[in-house]
Amino acid sequence: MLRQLEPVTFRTETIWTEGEQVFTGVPLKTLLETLGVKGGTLSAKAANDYAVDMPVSDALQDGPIVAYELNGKEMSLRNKGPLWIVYPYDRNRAFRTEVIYARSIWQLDRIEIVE
Amino acid sequence: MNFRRGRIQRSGVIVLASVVMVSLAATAFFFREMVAEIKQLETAKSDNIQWTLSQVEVEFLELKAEIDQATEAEDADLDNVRRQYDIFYSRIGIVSSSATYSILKQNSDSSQALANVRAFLRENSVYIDGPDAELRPVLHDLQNEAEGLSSSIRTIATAGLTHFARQSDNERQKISDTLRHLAVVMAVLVTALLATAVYSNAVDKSNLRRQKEVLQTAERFQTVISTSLDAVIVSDIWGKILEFNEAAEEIFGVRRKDVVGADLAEVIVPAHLREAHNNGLLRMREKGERRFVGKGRTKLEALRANGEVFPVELAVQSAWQGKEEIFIAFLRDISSVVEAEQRLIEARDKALASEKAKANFLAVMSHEIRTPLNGLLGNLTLLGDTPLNHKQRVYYENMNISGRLLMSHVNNVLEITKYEADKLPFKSKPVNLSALIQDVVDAQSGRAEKDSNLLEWGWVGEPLHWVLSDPSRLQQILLNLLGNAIKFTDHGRISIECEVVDRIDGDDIVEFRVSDTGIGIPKEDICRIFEDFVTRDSSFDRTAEGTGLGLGIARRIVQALGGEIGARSTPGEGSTFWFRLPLKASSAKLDTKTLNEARENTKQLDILVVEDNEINRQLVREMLEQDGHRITEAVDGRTGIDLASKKAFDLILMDISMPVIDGRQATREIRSGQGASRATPIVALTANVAPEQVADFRKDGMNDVQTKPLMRNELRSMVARISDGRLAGIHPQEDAAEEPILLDTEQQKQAREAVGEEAFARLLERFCLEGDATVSWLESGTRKTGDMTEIAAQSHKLAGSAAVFGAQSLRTNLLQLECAARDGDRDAAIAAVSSLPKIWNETQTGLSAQINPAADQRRRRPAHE
Repeated sequence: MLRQLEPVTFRTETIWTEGEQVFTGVPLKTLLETLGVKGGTLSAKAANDYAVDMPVSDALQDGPIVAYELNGKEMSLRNKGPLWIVYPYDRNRAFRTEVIYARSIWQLDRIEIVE
Repeated sequence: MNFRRGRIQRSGVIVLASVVMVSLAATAFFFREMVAEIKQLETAKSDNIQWTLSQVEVEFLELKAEIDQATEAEDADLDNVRRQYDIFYSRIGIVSSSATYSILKQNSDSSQALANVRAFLRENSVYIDGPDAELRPVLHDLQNEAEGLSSSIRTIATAGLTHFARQSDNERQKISDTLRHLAVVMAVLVTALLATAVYSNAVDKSNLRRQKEVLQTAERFQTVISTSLDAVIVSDIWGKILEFNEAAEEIFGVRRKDVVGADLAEVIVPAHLREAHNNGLLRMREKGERRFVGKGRTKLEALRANGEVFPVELAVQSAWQGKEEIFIAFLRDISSVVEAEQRLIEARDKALASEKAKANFLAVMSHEIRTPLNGLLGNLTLLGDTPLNHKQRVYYENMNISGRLLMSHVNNVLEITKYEADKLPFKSKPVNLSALIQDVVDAQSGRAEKDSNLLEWGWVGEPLHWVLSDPSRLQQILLNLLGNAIKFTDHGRISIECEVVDRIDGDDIVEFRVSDTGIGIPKEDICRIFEDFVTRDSSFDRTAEGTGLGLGIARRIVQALGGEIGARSTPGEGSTFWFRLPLKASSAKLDTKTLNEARENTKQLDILVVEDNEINRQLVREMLEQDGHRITEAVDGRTGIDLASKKAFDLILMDISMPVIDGRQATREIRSGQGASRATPIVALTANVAPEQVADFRKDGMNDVQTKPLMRNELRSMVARISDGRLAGIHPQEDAAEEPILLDTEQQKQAREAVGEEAFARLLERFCLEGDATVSWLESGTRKTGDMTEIAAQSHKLAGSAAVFGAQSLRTNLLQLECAARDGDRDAAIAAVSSLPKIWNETQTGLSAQINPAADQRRRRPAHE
């Protein structure tokens, strides 16, 4: 389903990787709009049992995407795949905070929408 | 003082401002640092590092647990192992590649530990990625290897912890430092601000105080202005009245409220000055030209409300009121002052005019008296030449004495009027005081002896010989005082004492004291004896005669010479008259030099001195011998005639009054004889200098007259004239033959100076009238066998007048006529009178040409009766 949505690609550095990375994925905004989600909180869970909550309001234009490709390749579980919520960190200072880093969940397994 | 305080205040402000500036700069700097710090804090360089590192251990333990579980059951699902392996793999990937965890590589223990873990993952991935059948047999190995990794995992988990704890400490420290700096700077800033506040407060207070002072000053100023007796008017540069004080209201008769804001010109400037006033303001506005402002007091006219124009004294000053220049005028109504001044000037003019009229009257009167008096005396002389019996001779003598006395009084009055008119010039030349006094004493010794008086003189203390002064004036004072002393002393003693009493500004103050043992002066008279016209009680009748002008003249001369005069007396015992003069000592060298020059310049002459007075004879001898002349003395007329006939002298000095044969007769005999000196110049020595006598002397054959007492310089210049040939031996006939000049302007000038222009003009008018009448009378009288004595008298009279005006030709002509008439020589008289009308006409023309226009105008007025 993600593949059918309009993808975006951006370049950014991350604190977890070396050098600039190219991420391709679906903007969280697009995904939530497609799903008809208007508000509330998202609860995201990772394969490594990491879990984090984020408000729907985080899903802004030019904001976080659910990336499925890193540097043009699909991501394996060993390389933080298969899905990774990434923010364009270089684009905005506001994306370089610990909260945002915490919400940058990799090895994304599922997103639940809670009221 | 204020200026100084201002400077100190300014420097205080500067210091304070610098402190604030530096504090602000420091604050800004630290603030920037803070902001940077905050920004850094805003953006996290990492997510939760400790969590991640502990997660390494957690996920490793989970992997280990999965492996343990799979080892125990043969058919266990291996996917869980694979999944947990991948998660662990991913975690180690992050720790290895993220810059955040590069610290792990810097520490050798953790670096080794990480290498161990990565080696484990690298070696086992092939089994994990393989099928179950290949994985299951190596599970046990995996389990063992994982067991062996436990310590490495622990090292990684803990190595990060200490490092990041330290880093966190550092960052905290850094923030705390920055905050501390900021605090310090803030403290400084606050202090500076506080100081500024305190300073501003102080400035504010002093400003308040100054403002109060300014207000007080303004109030005081306002009081001064409003109570000023002078009008004070303030205007702007357009002439608009800004201020008008009470005095101004009173002076100009307007109310302040009516004129403030009005045009100054309309209110106080009279119509005829208004244009000048407006032009002045215009010039000031356009060119900044100032005629009154700041130029002190000026007198002007101002206008009162009632239209009266009155004089004011005005002073204008300008001041700046902000950017506006204003003008403050102080005006004073000086109408009363001007009026008083005018009255004073009038009074003074009146007084001066009447004083002048008095002086003129005196001068004219004296002259008017002198002319007939001269006639009287002249005729008296003629009468004396006629045979008289004894009684007649006595009357003649009495008349002669009275006449000469009257003449001297008239001369005194004339002299006084000259002093009043300040017409007498004073000379300043080297004078030998001792010689001068000796001369005076010598001249008066005869008179003194007549009343059996002893006359003597001397210096008290150190004598002062040569001084700069006017010898003839000095002599006059001494003669007046000495004459008085002799007059009032009988069988007594008269002495002159000289003393240098003081020295002021380089001048020696010399006191001359003339003391007598005469009748003395009562106390009540002594204070006024120096006033004019004061005579002492004439109970001694003839001894007390006098015009009362002698002492007045002496006082005037002494004062004119810068000295003082006084007298003290004890009635019955005597009087002392004293005067003090400031005299500058002169070097005798100067005189020696002149003497030498005179000796060099003057030819050495053989001179015969005929003089019966031994002292005088010796004096003349000494003076002349000093100049190198050879002197022969004769003690009486007869001896003189004898000596003159034997030797040809270069010059004969002839005393007039001598017993047996007097000087005039001796001269006549020398001239008429055939002696060796018959053509030698003869100079009369006499104390009597009446002009008509000079004519007589000339007629006798004398060439010149030297007045006694003899003055060295006069004697010397006379001798010099002789030796120059300017007065060569001339017989009276030859003298008459020589062509005299028509008008001697020098003589005329002296006469004019002596009496003043107006009096001179009147006298001249009188002379012309008299001349017209006399000349026509003489002409007809001589031709028609008139009385020869009368002709001689008339000629003599007009000749005397002619001398006054320097009419030399006329005078010579008249003297010839007089001479012929007296000799009874009618032909000679007719010859002389024939040229008289022509000479008279020429003289008159010449005289009127020389009279100035003012005198001309005067002549046309009716003669003063």
